[in-house]
Amino acid sequence: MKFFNHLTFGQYVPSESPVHRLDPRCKIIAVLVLLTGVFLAKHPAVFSVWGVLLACLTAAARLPFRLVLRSAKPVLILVLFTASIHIFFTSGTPLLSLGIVTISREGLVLAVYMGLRLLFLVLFASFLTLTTRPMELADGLERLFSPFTRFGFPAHELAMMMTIALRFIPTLLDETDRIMKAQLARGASFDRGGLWKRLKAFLPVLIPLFVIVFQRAEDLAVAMEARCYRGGAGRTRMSPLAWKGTDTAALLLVPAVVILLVTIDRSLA
Amino acid sequence: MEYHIPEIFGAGWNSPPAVKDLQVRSPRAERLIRCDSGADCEADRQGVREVRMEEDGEIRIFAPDACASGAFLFREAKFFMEATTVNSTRRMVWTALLSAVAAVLMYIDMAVPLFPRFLKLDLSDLPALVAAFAWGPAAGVFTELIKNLIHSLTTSTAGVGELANFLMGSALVVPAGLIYRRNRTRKGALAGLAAGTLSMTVTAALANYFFLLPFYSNFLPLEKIIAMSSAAIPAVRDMGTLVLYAVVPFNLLKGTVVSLATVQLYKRISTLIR
Repeated sequence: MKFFNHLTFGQYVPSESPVHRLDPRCKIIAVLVLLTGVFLAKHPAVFSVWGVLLACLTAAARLPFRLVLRSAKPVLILVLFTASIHIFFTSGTPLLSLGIVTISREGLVLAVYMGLRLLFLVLFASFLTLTTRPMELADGLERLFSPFTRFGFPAHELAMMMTIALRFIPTLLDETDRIMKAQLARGASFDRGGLWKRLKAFLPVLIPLFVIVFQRAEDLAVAMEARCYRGGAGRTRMSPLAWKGTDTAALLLVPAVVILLVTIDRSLA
Repeated sequence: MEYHIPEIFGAGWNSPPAVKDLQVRSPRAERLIRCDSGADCEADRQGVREVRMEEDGEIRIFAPDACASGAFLFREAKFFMEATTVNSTRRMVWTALLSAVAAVLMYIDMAVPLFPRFLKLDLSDLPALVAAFAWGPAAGVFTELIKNLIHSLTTSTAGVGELANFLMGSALVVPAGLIYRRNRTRKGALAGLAAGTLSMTVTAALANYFFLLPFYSNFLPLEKIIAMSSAAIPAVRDMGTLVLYAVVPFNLLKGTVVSLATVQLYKRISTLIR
C-alpha cells in the first residue's frame, strides 16, 4: 500500500514537440493568459472552443490525450462535488424527480459548465508541467523575477530553492511513506479517532521526517559549499535559456486568441 | 558614528595584530563585527581587508504595519540572501527542504468536524514556522512562497487559493519569527505563535471577505456556499456572518493546532538545528 501514489509533481513527459521547445518564460506567461481566458468564459459555444483548443494543444505537444486527462485526477472529486451541488441545489424546470431530490434542467446545465470550467483550468495549468522540465521552469521563474533583484528580491535563490524542493519532494514522499508504514507496523492508526487523536498520531511521523530532512539539508549544504557554490552572480549554465522567434510568435498568438474568445463571449452573453 | 578601539597587541613577536580596529560606519555595519588580521597578503593586494561576521538578531523593529508592508518583506528578503557565506547557503538549503516538507504536508489535509467541508486543516504551515524559528521570519516567508509556487503547479483555482494561502501563512510566520527572535524561550515561542495566530485570523477574514469568497462564487454561487455552511453552523446567513462564524473560528483553531504541533515538534528537533 502506498499512501501518496496519486501525487504527480514531476509529471514532465519528454517529447520532441514545438510546445516542448518553447521557452519556459513564454510558456509560463502563456499559461497564465490562457487560465484567465478560461476563467472568464461563460457561453457554451465559447466553452466548446476552449475544449477544441485543449485538444489542439495536446496534439501540438504530441502528448497522449489519456496522459493529459490523468493530470485532472487529483481534482476529480472537487469537480464532481461542485457539479453535484449545482445539480441538486438549483431550482428551475424539473427534469427528474426522485423523492425529495429534484434535478432541474438549469441545474444540470450549470453543473456541466462549472465542472468543465474547473476541469479546463486544471488541464490548461497542467500543460506547463507536462511540457516543461522542473529545472527549466525554475530557470524561467528566475528570469521572470530577475527585474525585481534591483529591489533586493533574491530571484536566483528563489529559483534554486524551488529546484531543490522539487527534487526532494519524491524522496520525502518515499521517506514519509516508509515512516508511516513503520509506525503502522507498531500499531499506530492515522485515520481513526477524532481530529486531535489523528494529529497526535501524526507527530511520531513528523519528528523522524524532520530529522531526515535536517540530515539531508546538512549533507546538501556541505556538498554545495565543497563545490564552491556562492550564489547567482557569475554562475554559468549548461543550457542557458534562449528566446527564439517562435516564442515571440506564441506570445503574440496566445493573448490574441484569448482576447478574441473573451470578446466573442462577452458579445454573445 | 565613528569610533576606534586602539590597536590590540600582536599575538607573537613581530606578528601582525589579531584585531586592528573596530570601525562603525553605517547602521548595517553596526551589527557586523569587523575582523582584520592583515595577515592575508593575498586579500590585501585585492583590496579586501576585512572579514565580516554576522551576529544573530539583526533587525530590531517590530510593528504590525511594518510586517505587512512589502517594503519590510523586501528588506528582510534582501537581508536573508545578502551575504554569500557558509551560513547563507545552509539557510537556503534548509529553507528549500522545509518547503518540500510543507508542499508534501499541504496534500495531507483533513476535514474538521463542525465546520463546512471546504475549510480543511493541513499542517503545511508547520515547516514554515520551524524555518522562521530557526532562521528568522524571512526564511518562513520563503518557505510559504515556495510551498505555494509548487502547489500552484497542480492548482485548481488558477493560483488564487495559493495566493491566499501565502498571505495567511506569511501573516502567521512573520510575527511568530520576529517575537521568537527577540525572546528565544518557550514563553517567547508561545507569545509569537499566539500573535501569529491572531494576525493569520485577521488576514484570513479580510482575504476571504474581499477576494477569496467572491472568487469562489464564480464556481459555486455564494448562496450555495452559505447554504452549505449554515447546514453546519446555523448562525451563518450572509457573507459577513460566514466569515465571522466559519472562517474566523476555523483559523483560530488552525492556528492553535499548528502552534501546538510546532511547540511539540520544535522542542524535540531544536537540538539538531545549528
